[in-house]
Amino acid sequence: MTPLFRLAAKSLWNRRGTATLTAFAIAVSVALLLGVQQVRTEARESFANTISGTDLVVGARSSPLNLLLYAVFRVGDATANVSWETYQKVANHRDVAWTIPLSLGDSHQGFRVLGTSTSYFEHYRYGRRQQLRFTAGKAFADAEGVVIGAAVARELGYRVGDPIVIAHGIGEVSFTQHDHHPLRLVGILAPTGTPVDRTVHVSLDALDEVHRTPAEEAAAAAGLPLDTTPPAITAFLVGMKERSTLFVMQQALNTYRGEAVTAVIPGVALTQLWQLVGVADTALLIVAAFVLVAGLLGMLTALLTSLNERRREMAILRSVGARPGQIFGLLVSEAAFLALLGAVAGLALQQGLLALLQPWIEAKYGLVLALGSPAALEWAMLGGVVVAGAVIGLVPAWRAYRLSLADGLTVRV
Amino acid sequence: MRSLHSRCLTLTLALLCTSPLAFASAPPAIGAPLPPPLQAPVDEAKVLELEWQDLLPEEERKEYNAGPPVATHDYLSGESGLASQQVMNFNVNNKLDQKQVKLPGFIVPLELDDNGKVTEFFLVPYFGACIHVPPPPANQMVYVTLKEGVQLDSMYAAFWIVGKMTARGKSTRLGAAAYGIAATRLEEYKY
Repeated sequence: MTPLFRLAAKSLWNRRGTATLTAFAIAVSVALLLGVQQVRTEARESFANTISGTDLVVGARSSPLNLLLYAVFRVGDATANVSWETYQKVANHRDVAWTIPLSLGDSHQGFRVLGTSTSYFEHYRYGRRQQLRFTAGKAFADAEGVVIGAAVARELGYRVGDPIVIAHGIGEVSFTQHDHHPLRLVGILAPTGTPVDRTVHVSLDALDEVHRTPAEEAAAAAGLPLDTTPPAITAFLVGMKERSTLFVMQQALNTYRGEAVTAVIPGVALTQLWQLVGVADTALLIVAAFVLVAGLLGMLTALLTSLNERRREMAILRSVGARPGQIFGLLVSEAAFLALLGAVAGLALQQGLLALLQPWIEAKYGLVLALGSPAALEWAMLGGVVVAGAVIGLVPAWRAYRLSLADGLTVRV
Repeated sequence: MRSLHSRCLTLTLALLCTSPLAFASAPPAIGAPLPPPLQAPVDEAKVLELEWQDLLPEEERKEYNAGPPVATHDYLSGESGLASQQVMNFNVNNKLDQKQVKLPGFIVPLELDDNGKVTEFFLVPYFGACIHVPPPPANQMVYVTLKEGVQLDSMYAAFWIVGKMTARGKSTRLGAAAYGIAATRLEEYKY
């Protein structure tokens, strides 16, 4: 068998140009398939893990999905604000266990700033009811403190004690720097794999202070008492004492005559998101599968068209003792080998592209795509590519078998 | 050609014959106690098929209304009028506690796992309880936990939930519901 394989290898090397192109076509389609599959699963995981154990998300009247997206995922913008009175009404209600106020709208070097209370660090849960942990420092205790997420600390290289200036608006650059009130970093959170990592957390009082008008500044400097009630917040999270009462609270808020607000159950809104996105990501997967089929058909074409030139080669192989059945087996294994080469190269290509694009994707979409070995499903996909290559190889193999039978040792070309 | 054919045939036959052997395990030693089954099978005969009115205590079943209750007003003002008492009805049917039950309903998802499957949800008797229809009373909702989760493709679909029910009544524990089910199985409800 070994001399046969050596000859086959030399034959393949002789046709290395076409063989490389074929393998490359398969590699590109495999990289696309693996890439699409990874983005699908990781995006789903990333969204599902962002919030947990929260009964309601409440904000100004808007679509439930939009509210979830801007309040929890920090994607998109709020339609309007929620008044402090409405927030207090809910926070002080006897059936409510805890609330977390959220105030968005400012930024720090491109990272979103979130104004909130210490209730955030106590009650916010992500993943499977995991609490936020600190790698350095602790939660802010006064109006000067800032807590940043892991990605902010990593990218900007901040340490506990550093001063931080926040800018107005969520653009990357702002012309309104609130540098008359520098804040101090007091805590850095452990990585969570959620938008929390890319957020700068300040207290609501701090946001008020930095937004004061010059007249209010003067009054504060003169020592006159100031009304420190925040005028409005963007949204808030609610946890009820009895989970079954969340429906009543939700309905009461959605029909509240005092202000136009929307209350959404996070699980329901996320399920609606999957139903919307599910169609699109299944379509993407089908497109990727078709691209793979196109790549394999390319290999079939290349093998079939080369058969005519290889008739003399088949005759030579017959002359050294190869049986027609062995010729058949040789061509099937050649196709399977090219598919295997393409699959391995595709995996390497996908990992390489991922390593290149990963930081950009995380910065732009907040989506963390992990490098590393594929999951069971992806290995099955790669195995499927090799098997498909072998199956495709049956066609030229059968043709070669028939040709070598007909030609024998005399090739009538 | 003949030898190739015959070689393939022998290989296939060999594979077919040896595969059942792979699944057989060594018999236990004589006198040793048998290992316990991996999961106690649910006795299908003991599973109670319930209707939503069975969840009400017997004395309340006469006034059973299958539709959504009257909308509560003034909930936010904190005054506890009769309307809010109605939906906070935690009176349970204690005969259902710790029983294996089967109950159909609609799913309101609460917690999702990594793959977007719903692992904790409320089972409610009518659709729309999470959107704009007044919510059902507390003893007409069941808090279900399902470890392997369910892929919810449509929230309009009804499901049979099978599992062990706990009837807790009013509880001081945070997050407790009147009824809970630790679900072992879920099937689509076909009308």
